[in-house]
Order: sequence, then C-alpha cells, then structure tokens
Amino acid sequence: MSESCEKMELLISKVMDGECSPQERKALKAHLAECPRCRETIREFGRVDSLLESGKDLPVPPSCPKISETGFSSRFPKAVFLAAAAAVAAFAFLGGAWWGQQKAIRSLPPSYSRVASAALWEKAQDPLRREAALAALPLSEAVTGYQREVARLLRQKDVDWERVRRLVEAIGALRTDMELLTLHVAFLEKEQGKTDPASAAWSDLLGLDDRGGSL
Amino acid sequence: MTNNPAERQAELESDDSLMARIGRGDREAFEALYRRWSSRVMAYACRSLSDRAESEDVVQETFLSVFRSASRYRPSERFGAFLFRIAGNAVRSRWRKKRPLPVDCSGEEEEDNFFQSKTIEGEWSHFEERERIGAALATLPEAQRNALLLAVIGGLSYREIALEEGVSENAVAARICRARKALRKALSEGGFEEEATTDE
Repeated sequence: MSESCEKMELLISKVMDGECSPQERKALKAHLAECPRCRETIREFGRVDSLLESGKDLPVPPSCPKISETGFSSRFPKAVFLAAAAAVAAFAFLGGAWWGQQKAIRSLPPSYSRVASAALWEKAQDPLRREAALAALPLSEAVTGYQREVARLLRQKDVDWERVRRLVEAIGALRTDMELLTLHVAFLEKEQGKTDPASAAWSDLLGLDDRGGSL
Repeated sequence: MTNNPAERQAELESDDSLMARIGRGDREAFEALYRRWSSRVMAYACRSLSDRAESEDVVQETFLSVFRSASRYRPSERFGAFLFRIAGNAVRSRWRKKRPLPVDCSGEEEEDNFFQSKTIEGEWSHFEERERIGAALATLPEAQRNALLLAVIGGLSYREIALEEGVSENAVAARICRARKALRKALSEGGFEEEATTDE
C-alpha cells in the first residue's frame, strides 16, 4: 500500500462520518478516480459499519423504566426514591437545627445504629444481613460522629457555618449510602419472598424513624 | 408506529422539547424519548460490553439518569451527545470492573431461529462475520472502540467525542480509522491488524 493510500484511508474513514473538509473531499475524490484499492476500502469500511449498526444480532432493549407520579422507578424504585427522601430529611432536620440555633438543640439520635444492631441481633447468621450490618456500622458511627460535631459547633458563640455546611453535606451523603444499603437488602429479601417475622421487623424498621420519616 | 394520538404527537416532537416535558414529570414524553433512543443505546452498550444483561442495565441506568437530570437539562448541545455521554460513563464504569469477553450478544432464541433458516449459506456467512466483528471489537483498545461506537452507533461528531474523551479531533479521527482497519482485517482474514493493539 502506498503512503498516499494510507493517508486516504483516514480520509475515507472521516468522509464516512461526515467529517471531511471540502478540500479533503476533493483530494479523496481525485485519488479514488485512479485507485481501485481505495475504492475497495470504501466498500470494506462500509461493511464494517453496516455490521456494527445491524440490529439483527442485538437484543431488544428492556422495557421503559416506569415513572411513578412522585418520581421514578426501575429495578430499585423504592430504594432510590426513599434514599432521596432520606437525604432531604437529613438536610431538613439538620438545617432546622442550623437556623434555629438560638433555641435548645434537640438531641440527635443516631437512628442508623438501630438498623445495624438489628441486623446483627436478628438473624445474624443470614449472610445478606450480616454483610449489610458490617457495612452499615462504620457508616452509622461516622454519621453519629458528624452529628455530634455539628451539635458542638452550633453551641459555640461564633459558629463556623462553612464547617457546619460541609458536615451536613457529608451526613446527607452517608445517610443516602446507608439508606441504599438497607433498602437494597430489603428489596432482595422481598424478591426472595421472605415474609417471616424477622423480615417484617426489618421492613418496619426501614419504614420508621424516631423523627417520623424514612430512615 | 403507534396508534395512540398522544404517542404519535410525541414522536414528532424534538428531543429538546421532550426533555422539557420530562422535566415537568411527563411520563409519556419520557416513554417517547425511550422509544426513540433506547435501541441505539442498547446497541452501543452491547457492542461495547458484549454482555446482554449488563447492556440492559446500562440502558436503564442511562434513561433514569436522563429522567433525573431533565429538569436541569439545557439544550446547549445535541441531545444525542448528552445521552451518549451518560451511556458512555455507564459503560466505562463497567469496563473498569471487568474486561469484556469476545462473545457475541445474540441470544439463544436467535440461534434457534438461525438454524431453522432456509437461506442458511447466506445466514451462516453473516453469522460468522458478526462473530468475527464482535470478537475483534472486544480486542480493540478501549479508546478506539469507544470512539468508533460513539460515531457509528451514537452518531456523535468527532468534536463531541473529542470533548467527551478529552482529546483532539485529529486523535479521534485516527482512533476511528484504526478501529475500522482492524475490524476490516478481522472480517477479511479472521485476524487483527497490529495497529489495533496500539493507540496514538
């Protein structure tokens, strides 16, 4: 293959994607008039593209994700929605403490620790729950630590609002992680058709919070 | 083509107009957008990952992300570029977890149909070509494969791919050309060109 043909291959590839400049098109056209090998390259590249685009061997996409009135859903619809709700609840709760710092600061119970301890307490032999519990414990501890730090900052005369803001964001992220983790377990259990008392207690725990919202 | 008047209306709307409606929580608009684009996203994911289940996950993940971001979407770029950027991220996150295996995406059902085909010689040749191109695609360097698929299946311009990949348009052109040459080689000989294993 001549050097010229090698350069023309790049132009052929570009022209197939509609990316050639007018000058490049002109040069390519002149070359093609005299080069049967590059004319063959056009056919071969076209075959490659045709096979790539061919849908015959491709599976059809899954059905459209169902969008509920209140949001969206898919394979983990409730988990995603409730995780968002949990993040909002965390912000709302801590935001309230932030703006209402003149009032008495209410206690900040680390309710996630209940989830983790419940997982260990109930059916600790169940690998799914045990794994969730082990993953949830450090998250729970981190949330508790951050909450205490926020409470401490808010009690100070000159509040470091930037630090409070960053802590609140971190808490929101951690709580979302925990929410997804716990709801993922609940979802898997539901899929497996687990309806024993322990599972019911687990589900109740997921739906309840001492602040009245989802965890 | 649908018989539902609302669906027919949605089919005629631009992507940006549908996105505006989705941003207001319109489910029909979302379904219309899904009907319009999901096959291309599926094809891109399947060609990239060679895994049907993971490709389906990519489609779901991509469109949920589209839904979530619809209220913030501003038509400053082509919708296709926006969509395939999301799909590209979903595919790349899976590449990081595992290297795709050179397997064909076609399912068992299709193989059953294939073996019942009356025009078996032509079908067999096409089947072999698809197998070869699927295998060759899986062995291409990631950057070449992604650039080629975004251009051919996603319909993205070199500029859009360059922005997504953080490289120049010339680099994109070179990657795509190398990928085409490697796949051509695979089709003609069942082997791969040396240049497919290196990148610029």
